[in-house]
Formats: sequence, structure tokens, C-alpha cells
Amino acid sequence: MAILKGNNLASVIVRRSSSAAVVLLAGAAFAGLSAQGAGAAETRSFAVSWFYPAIYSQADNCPNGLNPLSHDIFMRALTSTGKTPTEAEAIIEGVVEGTPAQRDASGKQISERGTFAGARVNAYENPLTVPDPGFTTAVGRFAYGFNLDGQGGKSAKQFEDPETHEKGVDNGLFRLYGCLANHQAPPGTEPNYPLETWESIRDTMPAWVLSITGDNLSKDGDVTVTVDRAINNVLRDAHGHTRHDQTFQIDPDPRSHNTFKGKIKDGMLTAQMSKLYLLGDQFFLTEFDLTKAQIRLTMKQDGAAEGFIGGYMKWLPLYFQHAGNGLNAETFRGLDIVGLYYALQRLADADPDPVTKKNKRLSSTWHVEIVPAFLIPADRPGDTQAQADPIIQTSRAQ
Amino acid sequence: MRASTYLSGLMCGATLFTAIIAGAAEVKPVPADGDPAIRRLSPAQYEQTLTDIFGRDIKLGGRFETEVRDNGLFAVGASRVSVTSTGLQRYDAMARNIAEQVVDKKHRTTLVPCTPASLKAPDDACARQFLSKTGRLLYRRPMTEQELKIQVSAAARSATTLDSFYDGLGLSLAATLASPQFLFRREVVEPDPKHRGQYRLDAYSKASQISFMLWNSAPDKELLAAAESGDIHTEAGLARQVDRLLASPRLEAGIRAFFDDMLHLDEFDTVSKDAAIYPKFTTDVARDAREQTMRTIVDHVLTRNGDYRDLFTTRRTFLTPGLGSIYRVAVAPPPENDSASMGWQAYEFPEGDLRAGLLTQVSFISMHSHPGRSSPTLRGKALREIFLCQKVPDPPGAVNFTLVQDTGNQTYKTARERLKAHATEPMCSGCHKLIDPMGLALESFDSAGGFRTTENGATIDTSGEFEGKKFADAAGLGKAVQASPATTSCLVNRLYSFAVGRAPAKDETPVLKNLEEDFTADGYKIPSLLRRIATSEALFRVAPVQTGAIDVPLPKFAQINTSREVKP
Amino acid sequence: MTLNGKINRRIALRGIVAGTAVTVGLPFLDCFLNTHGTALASGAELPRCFGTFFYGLGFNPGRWEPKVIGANYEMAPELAALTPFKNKINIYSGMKCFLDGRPNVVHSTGVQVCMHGGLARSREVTRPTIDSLIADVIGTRTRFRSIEVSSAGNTRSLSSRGRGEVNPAEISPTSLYARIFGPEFQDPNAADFKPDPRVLARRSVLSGVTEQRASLVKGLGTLDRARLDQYFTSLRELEQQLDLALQKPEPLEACSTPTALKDARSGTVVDDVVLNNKLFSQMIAHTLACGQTHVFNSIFSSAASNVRRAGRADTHHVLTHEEGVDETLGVQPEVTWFNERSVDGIAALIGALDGIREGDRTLLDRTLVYVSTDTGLARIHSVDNIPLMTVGGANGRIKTGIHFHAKSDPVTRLGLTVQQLMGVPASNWGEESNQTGAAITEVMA
Repeated sequence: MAILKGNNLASVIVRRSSSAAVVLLAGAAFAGLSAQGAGAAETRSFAVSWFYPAIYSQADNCPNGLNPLSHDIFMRALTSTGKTPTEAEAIIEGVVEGTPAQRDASGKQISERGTFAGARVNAYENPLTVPDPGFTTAVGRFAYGFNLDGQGGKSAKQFEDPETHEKGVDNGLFRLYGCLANHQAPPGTEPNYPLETWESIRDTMPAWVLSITGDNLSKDGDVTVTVDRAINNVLRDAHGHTRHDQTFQIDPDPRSHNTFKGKIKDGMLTAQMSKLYLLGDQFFLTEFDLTKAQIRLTMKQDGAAEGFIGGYMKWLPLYFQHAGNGLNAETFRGLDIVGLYYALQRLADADPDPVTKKNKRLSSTWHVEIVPAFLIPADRPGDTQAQADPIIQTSRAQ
Repeated sequence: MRASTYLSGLMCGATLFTAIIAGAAEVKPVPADGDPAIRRLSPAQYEQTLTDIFGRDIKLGGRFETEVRDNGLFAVGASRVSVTSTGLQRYDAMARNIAEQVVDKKHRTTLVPCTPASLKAPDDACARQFLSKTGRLLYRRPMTEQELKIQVSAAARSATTLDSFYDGLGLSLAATLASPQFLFRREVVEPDPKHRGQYRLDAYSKASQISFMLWNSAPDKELLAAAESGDIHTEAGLARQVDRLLASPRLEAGIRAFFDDMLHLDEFDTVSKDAAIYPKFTTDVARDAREQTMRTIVDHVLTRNGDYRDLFTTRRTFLTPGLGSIYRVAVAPPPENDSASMGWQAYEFPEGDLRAGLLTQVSFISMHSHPGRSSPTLRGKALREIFLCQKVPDPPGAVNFTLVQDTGNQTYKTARERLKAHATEPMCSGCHKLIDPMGLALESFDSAGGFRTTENGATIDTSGEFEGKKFADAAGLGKAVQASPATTSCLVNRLYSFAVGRAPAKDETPVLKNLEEDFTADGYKIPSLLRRIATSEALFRVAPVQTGAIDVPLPKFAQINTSREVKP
Repeated sequence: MTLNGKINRRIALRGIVAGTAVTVGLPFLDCFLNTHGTALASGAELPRCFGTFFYGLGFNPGRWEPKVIGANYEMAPELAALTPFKNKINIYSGMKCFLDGRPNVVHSTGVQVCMHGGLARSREVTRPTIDSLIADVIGTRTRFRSIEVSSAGNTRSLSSRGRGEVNPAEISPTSLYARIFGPEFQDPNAADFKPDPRVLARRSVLSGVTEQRASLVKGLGTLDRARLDQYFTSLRELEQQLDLALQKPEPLEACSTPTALKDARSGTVVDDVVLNNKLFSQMIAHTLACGQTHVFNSIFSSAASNVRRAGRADTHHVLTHEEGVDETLGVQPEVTWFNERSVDGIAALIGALDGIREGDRTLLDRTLVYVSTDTGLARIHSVDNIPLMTVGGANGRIKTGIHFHAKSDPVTRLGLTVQQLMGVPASNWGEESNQTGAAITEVMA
């Protein structure tokens, strides 16, 4: 077991080999897949195969360096509660190398660093019982995303999207994660920790699924997009990636059903929606709740697609994603949970609470990849006749 | 058109291509002259027999010896193989494992018909009762008194050594399970009272013959009783037993065993695909693909009693969610705790779909492909050899395959173009002409069975010709194979070989011809053909023993054993 | 207690059994060997071991033969990975397979001649392989007559006792571990020895099967009789194994039980093959050191090797046909890369055998490994100049560190030499033009 110590930057940047090999075919979306005559609607369905915060790390993101790693977080937290550095070292040692009993005892000292009414309380559950330890957030010119508030490039706090070069991009989530060692992701790489989280969650989490319907998906035009949650999880292929053309049953729960309008132009799907809601998973985001959402997906040659989903997200589920297992997050991921809470409060940029006036939502952009899938209603019994893919049928019959 | 006629027109190099189906000579049908031999039980027969005797609760575990194919079948190769040293170790380990379960506390009350006087001492009477009852089922005939004595005394000695009646009994049972009497089926012949000077299988061998053919397992008690009473030697008695076996749900095991053998589906265990190119082809999908073909066959030839030829055109099949991802068909995941369907769903491809018939199923397509690319040659060769019983020779030694294997070639974009360029060499072109047109029709499917219309951006041309019939695509190929007389004569040949455990002898051609005619008259129904074979004299009559096979003259009525004699 | 003291038939066993086990006292470990590790403390020579190692598709001509003939050769570039073991390796060049006018059945002819001594008359293997002839001499008193492994997933070994029977090969190192070091393993260095009453009982019960031999073969034709004979030969070997398990084994100082294994994935991806070979090599070394067998057969890749890189469809074999020759190097570069993996495979086996110390020597010093392949120049399926090697000292019977060069002699010369070194009383070996009576005396000590 290793604790993150010093700057492990080099080791936390990962590159998923698969995505590098995929050829993007802008302008040739759905090429060869549609043989339908004009007028007949065509639907393509997908399952989400990757989903994590969009990070575009640049040298200028963190002029004052990255956030400290576990050892320093614990040292800071313990000395602030009155422990001497030597005592603190012993406690840290107990968390990392100790027996189960020592781990529990040391862990308790670390997690119960809050003070309320003269008593020690769990800081992860009550972050405001600890003074703000500080949390370095990212600055810079570029971030993936969308201009959510429509305020162009006027504000210095807004970014430029490195692909579309749209100005005025709102992405508080990138600011939040941009100076964490294991969230570093220069172009062409993926952030390690979020990748690891998704990788471990997707085998059990009910899949998120999409469908796109239009007159002719290989041409520019208007489309209707649905986003749903399925009752089945994704399965892996022989490579360990999400299997293509798997069948999913849509969860009948209306809360996770979203429909909106979009358009396809030059092989790229774009859409805006006032609200997007999906139930998540207790070990991930319990709910994914976006307002003023936007989506941008580029179709790939193999029938999959990748791009971004952005919007103002409720930040409390994000906090609890990390705080729910706070000690682990601090030990293994170098994430100061209390610092995170204060940073979220500072960065939140939409949906003020009518009473406290504090913002409940954070602008965010998520990297999303989807693969072809079949969607059927969940209420169909298991012995229902299987259904062929209409498009492939047409293609075969040619 | 007779099979032999068109075949002779297709010779690729006068000596290279040999048709297995010999021309029909104008002679009267004669009984088979096949010599009896000993046949090693196949793994499936071993498992089925033990499951039938001891129940599903007994776990076999272990691994079997490798099998050998002859005349296209393991069932024929079984007459050539023995048991190697390593193989016997495996049989011995399996035997002890099974025997331990049979006599353990959980199973002994139901499987051992008596209780010993003492748990810690031998009890010859009880051991004899159990061993004679079980031995009869295992040896497929009553044990001889000598065999029984040896096993009873082995049980007693072991019981003394181990201070346990049941441990001793278990070891004695294990010895019978590893014995040649169990592991090898042996045919015993006796003089045929109906045909002077000729011989026939004895009643117990006869019972085994039909039981292994129809159920892929040893005879049950009723069949053994019919053998013991001699009823099986009467025409009506034999018909009664054959009809009983045909009416049993266990017929499915026999049908499965035959087609698994004929289609070489065992080779599926070693099929692997390049994960980078065919990521959908996972281990579970491969397993499902094999089972898909089995379910299609069982449903068609047994459940629906369909025309065998229509297996090459049927659009009806069964799919799992995993297969759905390869076929690109929505297959709902099975409800939780659904043990009945095991995820399988009936499915019928729409009319006009190219997925029609066994040749277009993932099992055939992927098994006869390379790990990273399709192979019109392998597919065409497999089609000729497996379904038409035609032998295609291996390629000559010094062939340059560079072009054929270069799937990224931008000049010759499709397999058809590459093969055309490759097969200009005269030494290759003869055979390629025979096998490629059929294989090229299946180029709509990649190595893992996925559908495609283009290769390297070029449209794939799947047209071709078979036996003078032109076709446009894989579905057309299926129709051509469906209509070919070679298809049905091959099936008859294979099913007959499967039953007798050897390739048909030359002078059995008229027997096969008769069966082919019957098959036609019966509308190409497999159960009818099984009945014809199982009740035919050819299955049980034996030619006179060749001189030199045994040392003594044949006694008039006593049982004698014979087997094939080969002169030096 | 000697290894050849026979415990015969069930009558004798009953006397020993009588319910209770026998405990035998034992000398201490450091007394086992003489000071040089060449012999057991009793004075008996440590047993000779023999193995075959097969890899597909040979090496590039000109890049594997040492320039110097005789002793003190330099390892050629393609075999560079073997340099550390140079003094324990002999390299044999200039030997070929004669076809006698029959076709070169590609990838099979070379194997036939190297392993069986002649061309097969049909697809059926009729003659025993070299390891089998040797096992008849040195493999009859061990728990296993021989063990067969295959690192690239092919369950058919190259080892055969003739008559069409091919020994199945283990493709999973874990399965091999369970077979050798599972519950029936008798540690030769265990302090106490208790004959297992269960083994005694099994031995006795099996003798009942043997008793029925005469009545079972009666009346059978020659072919079927031969098949039943094979069965009873296998049964006799099983009985001999049990006999051995009933006797106190000779202590072997170097014997240790390896730790249980985690399997590599079986298959043809080169990384898996290399890992499997490494695990198998270590398992073989432990098996020999513990006296469980004296003979092994290891296949790194089959003839016409289908080993490939992960994610690539071109196998080693396909590449020999399709890859262009690099003008500077004069060879097919990717093929050469695969050839070098075969060399790594040989090195892994040598390393494992040489890694087990016995006194001041190693297990390799009392072992002889015969390394062969299917082709000379794979690109054209040549069976000329087939790369051959022997590895190990055969208990001092062979001179090592020698490059022997023949002028188009049959490969069977080496096969005959190897048999004679291992004690097979053969004065010649092979068939037709591949027959020879000329052992390579240059390497015989």
C-alpha cells in the first residue's frame, strides 16, 4: 500500500490506447449505415461507455503548483487539531501501514478533525466544522465546454474551448479538478482518478443510454435525442471495452427519461436542453442533474461517438461522491475533502438558494463516449421475440 | 443427377481429388461386411452413461484423452484409438472421484441397494449385489462370474485395508470404471441362425449398437432386458425397442452427438479471434455460437421433424444477448433467476435476410476462418468436406501465400481479388476453382461472423456457381446446397458411419444407396432415417471372419469374438 | 531401501498392510549428496534426465551458426540470449532431413525425422519418438514416465510411443502443478514415510483388472489386440507408479515444492506463450529435482508456429510467408523478432534447470535437452541445415560448449548420439536415407 507523497504527476497521466486508434470521420457520420428513403425516420441507439470530467491540462493551469498529496493533507489536518508533527507522523503511519485496528484508530483521528460544541465530529459529514484549509483551483485559457450563461468572452473567469474555439466557456468543474495531481490530463490523455472511478463502476451501474432519431442520420438535419437509464449494466468485449450492439432495457422510472431536439451538421450532433436528469449509482454520482445542458458528439467510423456534455450540475452529489468514502479519497487520491467542500462553495456559479443566496450548481463539462446498442422497453418479458436491427436488415437486403 | 456424376467433373488434378462417395454399382444389396472392432467411449458417451446410471448429482470432473477423426467422424476414429499412459491416469482419477461420490453418505442410500452388516468390514453379499447390478449397466451386459468374483474380492480386500466397507466398495467400482470392459465398447458376434454360415451381433452388442446410436449412451434396463430375453433378435422386438428409443426425449442427446461430431463443433474449443479486430467474439459468445447451431438443428430436425435439406435455408434460430451483439439483433437480457430459458430466445430472421441456414451461422463462419481474417478457402473446403463428404487435398508445399494474407492490400481489396491473383498458379487453380466460389459467397461475414458489405472500401461480390446453379449471395449458396444430391447422400454416409463406427466398406454402397432412397421417400426426415438404419440388417450382420483372425475354428453356438485382421 | 525392490501383487501387499502404516527413519538432509553433488550419499549416481524442447520455424540461416567450429565458439547474433549458458550448450549445424523422393510435407517432415527418425508413411504416427525410446530406459522407475507441456495451447504433444498414440500435453501450468505436486506428491525429503493404505488398496484393486487381460484379449484381431495391449501397458505403468508411492523415496537435496501457480492465459499471443514457457520451465525443473520424472517434452510453439503479437492477425508462420526481406539485414525483421522469442524460450528453460543447485553442480549438469524444430529456412520450408542444439551435461557423458558442423548428414546422427548418451542400447537409428549408425563421437565424453 502506498501513500501519495510528493508530486506524482508523471505517473498519474494515462493514455487509453484504444481511443488513440480511432479515426474520427467528421462529415461522414453514419456513412454506409443508412439506406432508407427520404421520409422514413431512422433511429440509432447507444450506451454510454465512458464518462468522466473533461480535463484539458496546460502548463499555465496551476501557477502556484498542484494541491498537496495525502501525507501533507494529513499532516496539515492533524497539526491543526493540536498534534505535534511526530504524533501526526505516527498516526499517518497507522493509516498506511498499520494493523486493521491501528488503521481504524488513526483513521478516526483524521476523519474526526471537526469541532462542534467542543466535541470532535466527522469532518467529511460536517466540513464546515473545520476551517478552510485552502484548495488550489485551476486558471488558464482553455477548457472543454460550452458557453452556458451566454455571456460570451467578457468575463476573465471564462475559458475558450480548444476544439470549437468558442469563447466564454463555463467550466467550474475543470477549475475544481484542474490542480489535483491525479486529475492531470494533457491533450490526448485521460485523467487517472476519474477514469479509475468509471472503470470500476460501469460493470455494476445501470447503463445510461441514448437514442438519436432523424429523417436521415447520414445527412445534416434536425434530430430528436433521448437520454435514459437502463436496468442493465454494460458488458465487456474480448478487449475489456464496452461491448458494441448490446441490448438494454429502458428503466420505466420517468425521472430518468429525457427528450430534446438537436441537429446533425458535418458529422457532429449538437443539442441543447433546459434540464437533464439521470439517476446514477450510490458509488458514483447518486444523481446527475444538469440545467442549461448542451451536448456535442462526433460520430466515429465504427458506429460509436464521443464528445462532451455540459451544464450546471448540482454539486452536492459530487461532494458526497468523494466524501462518502472520505478517508479513502484522502489516503489514496490526494483529495482534501474539507478543502473540496469550500472550493465547491466558492466555484458554484448558478442557481442561488433563495434563502442563503449561495449557488447550488456548478458549471461542468463531462467527457462522454457512446457505443452502438439496442434499446427496448423494460416491461418486455424475457421470452419476447428478439428484434432485428432495421438498418442492418435494409443493408443486407440490398 | 447422381452424386458421382458431377463429382467426377470437378476433379482438381487427376490424382488430387478423391470423392468418398463411390459410384453406384449395379449390384444387389448385400449385408455389410464391416468387421466388428472395439471402440473407445467418447467423452460425451462416458458422461452420459454415468449420468444415466448414477444421476446428475454425481460430478465427473477431469479431462479425457484426445479424440481422433476418421471418415469425418470421431465415432469412426474411436475404432482406432487406445488409452495412453497419461490418459489412463486421467480415467483412473475420474473413476475414483466418481466412485467416492457414489458410495458417500449422501448417495449410498439411493445408489447402493443394500446395507452392509458392518461399516468397517467386508460384506461380500452386499458388494456382489451392488457390483453385479451396476456392472451390468457399465459393461452393457451381465458381468461374467469371473469378473464378478474379482470385483467382489477386490472390494473385500480394500475394505479390510481401509477399515471401511464403502471405501472398499468404492475402489472396486473405480476399477470397473477404469476397466477396458467399460471404456471400450466391444462387439461380440454369434452365428446367425437365419443365414447359415454367417454371423450377427449378439443380443447385448445389438442393444449397445442402437442405444449409442440413438441416445449416445449405454442401453437402459429395458433394452438390456430385451437383449437378455432375446426379444431384440425378433423383428417386432427390435422395432419396439427402436421406436421406444426414438420416442424418448433422450433422442436429443443422440442427435446432438451426431451433429456435433459431423460438424466438427468440438473444434470450437480452440477457436480464438483476434480481440483487437473482433472484440465481440468473447468466450461466452463462442460457447453460445456452438449451442446456437445445436439448438437450430434439434429444433428443426427433431422438434419440427423438418426436411434435413432445409437446415441450409432456415431463417429460424435461437439467440442469446451475446450472440445478438454479433448478429446485431436486439435480444433482451434474461430476467434475473431465469433458469428455464438460460437467456435463449427463438428468433426468425426476416425474409430476404442473408442469415439463412447453418452456413451463415457464427459457428460455421468463425470456425472456418483465420483468427484475424475470413477465409473463403477454409470455408469452401469445410463445406465440401463436412456437408458434401468430398475430400479436398491440402495445399502443396511451396506455395506463396503472401498476397492472400495481405488483408490490407490496396490493389486487391477483397478476398475475391486476392484469391484470383493468387490462384493463377496452375498447381493451385484446380482446387481453388472448386472451393473458392462457395467460400466467396460467405464473404458477407467476417472472421467472427459479423455482417459486412465492403472490404477495404470495395463492395464485396458474393456471387458464384455451384453444380451449375448460379447464385448471388450466401442465401443463394444455401439454396444450392439444399438442392444438391451430395448433401443428402453425405448425411446418409455420415449417419451410417456414426452408427457402425467405421467408414462404409466398398460393397456397402448398395446399402447406402437403399438408405438414400428411403431418405428421399421419407421426405429427408432424420428420425425416419435413424429408424431405417437402426432396424436395418446391415447394422447387425457381420461378414464371415477372415482366416487367421483367430486361432480356433468357430464353435457352432458359443459366442465368439472377432475383429478386423490385417495381414502383414 | 532400493528403488527396484518390487512389491509384488496383492498377496504381498496384504502382508504389509494389515491396517497400520510403516514409519521409516531418515538420514539428515546434508548427508544426502557427496561433496560434488554428483551422487547420492549411498554412492549411486544422481539420475540422468532427458528432455526435448521444440520451437516452430527454425532460425535464419547464417545468423545462428557460430563462425568457429569446435570448442570456444562465439554465440551467433540470433542466439545472443543464450550467451550466458554458452559453456553448457552444443550447437549442431549442417544436418538435414532426407526425403527419398517423397514430398516435403511442410512443417511435418522436419518434425518426423528429428523426433521419429524417418518420414511418416501416413498421417498416423507409427514409430515411437526419441524421448519415448529414452524413457523406456530412464523413465520406468519414476512416478511419471514423462511429462508433456505445450506453451502455445496445443494439446497434442510431439511425444508418441508409436501405434498412433500421441501423449496429450498439459497447456496449463496450474494443471501441471496439481498433477505433480497435488495430494499424491511424496516429498522425497519428508522425515517420515508412511505408505498410504489407500494407495495400497488401489494397487491391489488394479491388479484385479490386470488379471483379466488374458480373457479380454482372447479372440481379438491383431489391431484390436494391439490397442488393448496399449491399454494394459498404460495400466502397468500406473501400477508401477503406485508401487513407487509405496516405497520410501531416495532423498533428493535439491527437491523443493514450488509455490502454487497463477496461470498465464493459454493461447497464441506471444506474451502469454513466453510466460507459460517460463512457468512450465520452472515446474519442469522442480519436477526433475524431486525425482517425479526423468523425462519431459516441452513445446514452445508448434510446427508452423501460430504465435502472434497481441492484437495482430499475422502469426509467426504467416509472417515467414508474407514479410519482405530487409535489404540491409538480409532477413525478415519481424520473423527474426519471433525467432528471438524462441531463443528466449530456450534460455528460460536452461535458466530454470541451471538454477537448481545440487552440491557444486546444477540440475542442468545431469540433464540433456534435445532442442529441435521443423524447418531450416522457414520462408521456403527448407528441411536442410536444421538448427539443432543440445543443452546440459548428461551427468558428464557429453562434452559441452562445442559447435559441431556436419556436411549434409542426416539429423538422425544427433538423435542416435542423444539416445546412446542416455543409455539406450541402439547402434543405429532412422529409416532409409535418414538411417545412421554414426553417433557424433566428437561430443561424447
